[in-house]
Amino acid sequence: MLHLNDEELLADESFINYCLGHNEADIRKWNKIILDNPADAIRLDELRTIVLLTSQGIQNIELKNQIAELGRRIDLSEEEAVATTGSVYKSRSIWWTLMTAAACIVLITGTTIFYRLQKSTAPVASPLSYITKFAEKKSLVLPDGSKVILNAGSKLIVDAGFGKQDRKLQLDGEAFFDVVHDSSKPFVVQTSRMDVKVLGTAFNVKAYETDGTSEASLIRGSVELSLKNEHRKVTLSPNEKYLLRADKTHGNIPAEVAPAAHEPASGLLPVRINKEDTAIVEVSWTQDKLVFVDEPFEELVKQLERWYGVKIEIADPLLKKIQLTASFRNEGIDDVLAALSFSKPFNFERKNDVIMIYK
Amino acid sequence: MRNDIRINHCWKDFVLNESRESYYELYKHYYAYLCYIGLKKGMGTETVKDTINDVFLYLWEKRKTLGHIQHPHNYILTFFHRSILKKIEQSGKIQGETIENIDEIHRYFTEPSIEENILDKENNKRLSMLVNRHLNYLPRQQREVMYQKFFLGLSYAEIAKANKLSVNTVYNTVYTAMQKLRSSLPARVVASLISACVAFFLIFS
Repeated sequence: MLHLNDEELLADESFINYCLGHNEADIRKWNKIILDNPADAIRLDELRTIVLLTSQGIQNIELKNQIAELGRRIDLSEEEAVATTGSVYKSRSIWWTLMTAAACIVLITGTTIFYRLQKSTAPVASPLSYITKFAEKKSLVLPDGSKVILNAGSKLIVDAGFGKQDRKLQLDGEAFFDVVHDSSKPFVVQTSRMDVKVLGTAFNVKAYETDGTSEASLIRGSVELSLKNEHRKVTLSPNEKYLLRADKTHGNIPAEVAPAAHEPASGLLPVRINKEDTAIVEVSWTQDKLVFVDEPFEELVKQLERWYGVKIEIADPLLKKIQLTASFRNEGIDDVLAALSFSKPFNFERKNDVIMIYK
Repeated sequence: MRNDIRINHCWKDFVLNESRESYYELYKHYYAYLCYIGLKKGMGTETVKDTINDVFLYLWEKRKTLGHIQHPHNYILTFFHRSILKKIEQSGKIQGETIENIDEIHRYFTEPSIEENILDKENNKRLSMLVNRHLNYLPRQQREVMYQKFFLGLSYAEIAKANKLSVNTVYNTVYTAMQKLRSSLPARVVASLISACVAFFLIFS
């Protein structure tokens, strides 16, 4: 009998070479071992299948990632080429810094749509919609030259007639906007709970219909929010955000409702700053960073699901309310959960397609 | 030869029709091969990947001026070799081995082999899904190590050097990943053990 166990064989250089047909000496060596140990033949064949499937699987994943990266670089270089010949540009340098910093974002922008947008200066004739799947982000240029980064699991509809008298968009999800200034045509982002109206500015809107809260964060310029349920308007200053809680029972929730100790009520708040690198937490997703500051586990899990395209269930109701602070970049979902479970102990387990979290 | 026909076809479609699909086909065709050459020359993982993408980005940007190229295979290879030479000169490090039988390696990485047949078995399709799901969850660096081990077939020492890791770390990464993978797959090994026992009894009773 062979003295190596499965795991040792699966990581054995010579065995892997034999499976891949890579090295004459190793192929000969293992063919002889199989002849000499007929009792191990079936096991070795199974392990060889696993190695080959791993080989094929990892190649597909690598190519998928590399092509996404290449596609992103092509889009960027074409965007640059258009930008230098266009004249609408005012805030390119800031945008450029943002984009280079976001080097890891996988942006899959349909070139055809891109061309269509770049070439048309006339108002959009019929509504255009952009949808991102879970674990996907998109970067877009609107007909007026304004830029949008659309976060995972979001939908953005550009109204027919965008650019005629005003610039209207509908958003379900999260997006970062860098708007080209045009005082004659206000730029309005409509969401289910509030509208955000701006002239020229950079801001982030997070308004997933499935989330308990919506928020708008201003990076520079000024914006005006119309809160649909309260029929009133709020003006934001730079580095401020407005947090809006969903109606829980009925009617309006007064903005002055006493905040629970761990849950800020609706209202104006400063944007949060990541202590590690002083970056603004609300827009760190545009740089491919996943940052949480005192985030209830329940809300955090929703973000992880969108970010990684996985399904997560919290089995223990007590766990849903615990608050977590953490920041990640380029980590796999398993590593993220493992790291979180260090700060607040919990267990997790993958069952079929769902990750279960329990005490 | 089959390779040449395919490459030439893709190249034409890419240059004449500006087909991004054919362009990506070319990329898929050359990626592993160029990776292998770069890593064997002693370059780091990031540098190799960047160089490959630089070369292909250039091809895309200049697609309108590439109509005169008669031998796309030679063109891409020469271009890549020149790019890595430049990078190696810049870093001042001249190391790595000269690669012999380069055509054989090209064939190895690009011609369909037994690996594709392995999916013919119905049973393996399900296994393959499980394996892919597992691999999809790997963080970036682990994924790179696994790619270099299981697709490129580099040695632990070579992978360690390319990623500036110790040989031990690389081995442990592969071992842990495969251990997790093995435990997430159905334990069919038991079945084979039983059949081995049965055979044993039949022979000796």
